[in-house]
Amino acid sequence: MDILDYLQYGFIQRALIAGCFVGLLCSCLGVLLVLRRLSLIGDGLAHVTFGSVAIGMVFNIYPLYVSIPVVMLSSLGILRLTEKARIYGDAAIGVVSSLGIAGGVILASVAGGFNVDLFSYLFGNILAVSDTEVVISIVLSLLVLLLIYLYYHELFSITFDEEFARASGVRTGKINAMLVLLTAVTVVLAMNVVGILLVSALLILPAVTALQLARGFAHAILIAALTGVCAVVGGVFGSLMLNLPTGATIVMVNLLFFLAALGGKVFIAKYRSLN
Amino acid sequence: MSTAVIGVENLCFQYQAVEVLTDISFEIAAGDYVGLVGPNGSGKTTLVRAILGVARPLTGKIALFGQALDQFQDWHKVGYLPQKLGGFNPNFPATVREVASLGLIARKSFPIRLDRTDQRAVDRALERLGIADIGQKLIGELSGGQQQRALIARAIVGDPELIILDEPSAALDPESREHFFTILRDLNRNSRVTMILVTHDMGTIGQYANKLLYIDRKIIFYGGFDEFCRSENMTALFGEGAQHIICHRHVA
Repeated sequence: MDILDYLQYGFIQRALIAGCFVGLLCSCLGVLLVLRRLSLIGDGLAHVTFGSVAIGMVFNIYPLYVSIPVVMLSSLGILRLTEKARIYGDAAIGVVSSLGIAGGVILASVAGGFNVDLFSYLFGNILAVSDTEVVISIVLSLLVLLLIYLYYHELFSITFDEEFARASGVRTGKINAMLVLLTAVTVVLAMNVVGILLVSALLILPAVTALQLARGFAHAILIAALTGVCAVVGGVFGSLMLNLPTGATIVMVNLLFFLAALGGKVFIAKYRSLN
Repeated sequence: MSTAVIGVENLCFQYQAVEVLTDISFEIAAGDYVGLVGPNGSGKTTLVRAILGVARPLTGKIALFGQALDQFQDWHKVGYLPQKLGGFNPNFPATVREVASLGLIARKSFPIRLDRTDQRAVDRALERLGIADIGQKLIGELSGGQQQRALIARAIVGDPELIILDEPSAALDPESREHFFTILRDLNRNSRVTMILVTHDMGTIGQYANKLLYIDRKIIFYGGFDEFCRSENMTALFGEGAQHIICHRHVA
């Protein structure tokens, strides 16, 4: 079957549209998170998403509706723990993350054990996204991207040097809270694309790829965005042609981009040192 | 409080139950060039961070340009160069221009957008610091001295009325140092920009500052440089022979 033939199927169109928006979103936020050494917040919040999906299943509520508020609250919890309990960000992520996983396992057990639905959230199933999920992904992605655009300079400032940002009048508390809330929404949206277990890859890999090549902050965000979207498109078609799981293939394509960027950077550095 | 550029009243600061600053009160007038000195751990950086609202004191009042710190909004009037050159990630993908332009965001209202006038202000700041030719280079690719100049460009790009510099010359070579302090002196003399210079280098203070604030958890001395050079504090704090090193270079 030709690549263009795949496009006539509604489920592939939906997967590409939702995947590209979420990929774009994850990449832009990923650059900010990686540079602020908050890479693992995606992983931590993904674990909370697992717990919130279990809550949804136990109470028979659509998991996305439970996950978004629960994960947003948890992201603020991580921020609060870092500020008030004087523990480092990675430890705060660990605390909230373990609460999410433990809570999810207990709830799933109470509800009669794990079932197929819960596993589909763990590994994602982008080819099964519904029209409603596509619309939610587009609307929330556009909202998050708009906020990143409007607060670009503030986000750049606190990412580069938080102390200077505060002394410039930037409300760092507000911007930090916004950043973790946007990450929370993004993680929940990315759950459908690659699954809970691989969400952090969608945040981290395009960002670290961009950091190998970027010649400026805006440039880094642009490269990450392109990498993220190309990886989703490549991953969807690659998985269809090779009959592989789509979420995992998207992550592997992202990994290939990273290795290519790293290899290219090392090669150019060696070439320059020889000449 | 008066309309001094900086007014500090009965400031106390504790860090993990240890008193770092005790009952600090002083005022700095417009156009002053104040050398803030003291031994290691004396609370200099803490005082600067409290003045900038970065660190919250236990008690006391701080006012900037006559406004209480918690009400103060005119952050574009303040330029700041933090102490730690390594405070940012050396692999951060930001160009020198991007870093310098961060000094303009306090002037802007939401949503912040930088226009051609802002780009020209960045050009001027980079030219002034002699780094216009490396504006597109990544900050991590530069030497320590060049990085420091980029951060100084960020501090002065917004034409602030008060500049606070915490150990600014640590990474600069002697030639860059001389150039840098000349720029600060010109800003102070020609544009009446108020300066607070935190340093261990008493020679530099003697050469450029007109006032000295010596702290060691509390104020030991605050006043004019000439007064300090004549006072008993001079020998007590710096030992015999210090008069030559410090006061000899001071041109009132």
